[in-house]
Amino acid sequence: MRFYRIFNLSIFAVFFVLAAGLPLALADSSGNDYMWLEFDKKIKNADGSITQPLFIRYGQFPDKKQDIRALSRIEAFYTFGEKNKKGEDIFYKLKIEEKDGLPYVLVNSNRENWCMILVSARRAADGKAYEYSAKTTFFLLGKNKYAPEVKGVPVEIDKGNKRFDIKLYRERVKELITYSRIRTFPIRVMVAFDGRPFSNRDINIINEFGELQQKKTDRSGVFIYNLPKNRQDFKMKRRERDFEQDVIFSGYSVGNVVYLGSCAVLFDFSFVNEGQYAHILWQGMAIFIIFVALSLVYALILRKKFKFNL
Amino acid sequence: MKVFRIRTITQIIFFFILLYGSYIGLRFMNFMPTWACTNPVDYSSACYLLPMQRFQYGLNPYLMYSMPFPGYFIIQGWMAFLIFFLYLIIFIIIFNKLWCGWICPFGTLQDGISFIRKKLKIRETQFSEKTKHSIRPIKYLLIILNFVMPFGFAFGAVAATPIFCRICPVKTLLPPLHGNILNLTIGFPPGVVYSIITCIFAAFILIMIFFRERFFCTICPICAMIHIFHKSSLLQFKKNVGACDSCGNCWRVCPVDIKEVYLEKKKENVIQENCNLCLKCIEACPQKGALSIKYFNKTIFSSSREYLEKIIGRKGKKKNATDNSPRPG
Ligand code: SF4
Ligand code: SF4
Ligand code: SF4
Repeated sequence: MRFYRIFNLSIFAVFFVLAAGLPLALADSSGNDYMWLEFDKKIKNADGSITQPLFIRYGQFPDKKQDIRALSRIEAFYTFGEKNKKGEDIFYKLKIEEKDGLPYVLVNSNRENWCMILVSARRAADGKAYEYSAKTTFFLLGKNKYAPEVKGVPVEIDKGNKRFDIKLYRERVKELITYSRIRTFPIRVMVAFDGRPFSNRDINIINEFGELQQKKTDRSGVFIYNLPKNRQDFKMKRRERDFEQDVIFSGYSVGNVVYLGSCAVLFDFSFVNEGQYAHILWQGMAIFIIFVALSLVYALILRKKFKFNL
Repeated sequence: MKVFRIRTITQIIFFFILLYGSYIGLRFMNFMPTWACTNPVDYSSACYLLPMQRFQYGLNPYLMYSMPFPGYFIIQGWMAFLIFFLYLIIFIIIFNKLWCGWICPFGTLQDGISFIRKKLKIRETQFSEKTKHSIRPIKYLLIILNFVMPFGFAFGAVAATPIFCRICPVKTLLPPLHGNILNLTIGFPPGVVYSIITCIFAAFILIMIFFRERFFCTICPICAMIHIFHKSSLLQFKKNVGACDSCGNCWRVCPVDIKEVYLEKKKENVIQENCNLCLKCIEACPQKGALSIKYFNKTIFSSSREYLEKIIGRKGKKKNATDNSPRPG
């Protein structure tokens, strides 16, 4: 009797140990440290423009962060999707600032813009060269096209900086009527290396909770992943933050060079939080109030006749 | 306890649960046939009409990119439609129009506004029969805007937004209770023209609700959908024609001015298109068993002189008991 009790308890104990250890075991699967972009809270400026600050981080998302000073030649670029005559994106250089001892970039937009940020860096260790690239794409819904815009001079970026290309189709998906993200829909991602599809390779996606999803790209370098549904509700309920992010990463070696690419995926709970509508709200309020008054007068006049005909 | 009191308490509880429940961790999302525009992210419920229009996404050019396989969103849209349609049928089977009279937060809001009007001693606006007749088709027209038109668009060339949502007055009138007035913004997602129409429509509806009890319910597409399937419900509103003495109390007290219950001389089932099962008529009817609510064919509440006398507090004052409207008797 006693033996069975101990046996049963040990089965449960093994199960719980395994279950508790599972996410940790998974989170560390690739082993390599990589570089990624980490979203900070958006800043709504008084002039109607909007600023997205991002940290450049190194190590492993979400919490195995390493000292970024191990990397050299960190460069950052952004584009709002404008094309040059050859149909290529026009990039501008981003100034890398420092906040809390970490490299930090800021992108500002005075109107509704889609934005892509690319960061590249290098490291040499154990006789190997490591090339890091971090990317992200997101929306910046600035609301004042008259606000001053500083863009700088367009720059040509080195092809090497764009070697790992992780492309999302998801960020343009929004509920057309409420401007909230359609969270239940799958995210389609296309990965290319040196302009060619990164076919049949392992891709890792890790979220803020350290949960890892492992995917394989198909022949055209595409994979699809789903966001666990309840996670966003969980945060939304607690009103902790109005965004959350995942990081997609993968690696590839050519001879002595290891290429490590990442792409940060931003999930806004609502586009409404992002936009700034106060300066156009009064017009609607005015129309509403005027028509409340008019409807009132109309109703009162017709009530005099004791009948109301529409 | 008196039925109207139980109803008021139920309405208030559901109003707070459906609107503010998220603060205590309740999130029903779209799964209740309820008006609650999805804009305030803290709502515990979201508008029921939205997922039923999902099949419009089938040809949304943005979504095409994230399709795991061709036709994914058409299938997903149809699945959403069928699932939510099933939900509606389940709700109708269980609640019938009790949903409107006892649960719907927009119905409760309208009752609250009418309560203020009564307190201010402003009489209700009367509609002529002609007016009532001309309003009748509006709710069916709104169903067409809701489902039939997006359906058409889904297989046409246009990726449409839900047309009803673009002009829905509820999205302007209910979210302010959550501190969200963004739907009054001109040019907010649906576009400039639609948002102007929304503001005008909402202003008109607000005034109409004030002067006419449950005015919005007379044009509500959810009400119309419930009515189409009401016969399948386990809950039925019955009249024992033989017991009725044609006093007209049921008509007088009806907040939505239904006279068919009073006029009905043959049929047993007297639930009407605009009825929200507030049960006021049963409370006001003095004839034993003339009007009743049945569940699984078992009477759960029926009219009686004793009950009426109890609620008005004085014996013998049976006619025009709860009436303060100028409706003919
Ligand atoms: S008719 Fe519509 S608005 Fe009125 S109570 Fe029913 S669902 Fe709510
Ligand atoms: S018919 Fe009766 S239950 Fe229906 S709305 Fe009128 S008073 Fe209420
Ligand atoms: S209140 Fe009752 S008795 Fe009077 S008309 Fe209506 S159903 Fe008949």
